Amino acid sequence: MNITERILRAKADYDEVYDAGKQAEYDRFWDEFQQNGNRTVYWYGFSGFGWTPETLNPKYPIKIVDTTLNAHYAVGMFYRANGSAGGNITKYIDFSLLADKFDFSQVQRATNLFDSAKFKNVIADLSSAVYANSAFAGTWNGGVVSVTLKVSELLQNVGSMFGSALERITMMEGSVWAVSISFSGCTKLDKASHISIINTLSSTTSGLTVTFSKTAVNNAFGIDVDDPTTYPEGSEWYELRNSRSNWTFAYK
Amino acid sequence: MRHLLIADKGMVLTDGENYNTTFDLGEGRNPEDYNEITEEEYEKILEEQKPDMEV
Repeated sequence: MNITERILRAKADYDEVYDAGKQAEYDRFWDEFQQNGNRTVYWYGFSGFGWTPETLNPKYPIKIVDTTLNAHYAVGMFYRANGSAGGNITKYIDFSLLADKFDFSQVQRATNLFDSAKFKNVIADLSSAVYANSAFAGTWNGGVVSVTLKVSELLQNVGSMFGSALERITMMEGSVWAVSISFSGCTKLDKASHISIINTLSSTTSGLTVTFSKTAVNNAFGIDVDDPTTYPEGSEWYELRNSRSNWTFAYK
Repeated sequence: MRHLLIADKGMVLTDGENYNTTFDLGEGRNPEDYNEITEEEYEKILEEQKPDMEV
């Protein structure tokens, strides 16, 4: 073995030991943090500084099961996650890369779940949620910009559910909105999002109101919602809102 | 038949639950259900209803 080969061998040995140590540290941290996969309560579990695309990588899949409506097991779970002092952060966490590690389908109280989290491509099945106030609100940290979401008739408390960072909301198949809901702060919401939301408004309820941002609707559909002559019969917005004639459409 | 209600400048429309500048009323809703309040009154209500982080 010549000197070059010896150096390369030594480096390979070093890398192997380093990687093994790193893996051991990863295992040690997550075994402790997740109680060897037995942890059930993640109340503000990933909240605050330090969680980044590199560090938010649980070892064990996390399925939150609220045992009662007052369990609070997922409340604020990612509140201001991926942050740093002063909100000076670099990258979004692409939640779709972690989708198989988080299951929210049995969360009843999703309050502040992703509030002010600098995430994109969030996937959240909230079909058991009764509370979802401020779930995707907040811009302190950049906020959630895109979410694929499932909701059901169970949902009741939705105050300030969506924040102004959101650009895309895609409703999962089987979703239904059966509560008055506001997207009034979502000034950047695109056309596909409006269509997706409206298509999941319950067609059997009455007396409910959906509120959109006037700016978002006007920009997305090229209309002025205050001037019905800009969306005459047959136009896309006219037909969309008429497809849910049981809903009051409001704009702010 | 839908009714389009638009608040005057500096005013906000409300049915007691929702507060907005424009309402495009759905079936069964009457324009009489809505009142105009000033923006200052609305700001006061907002302050009282301000949601907090759940702790």
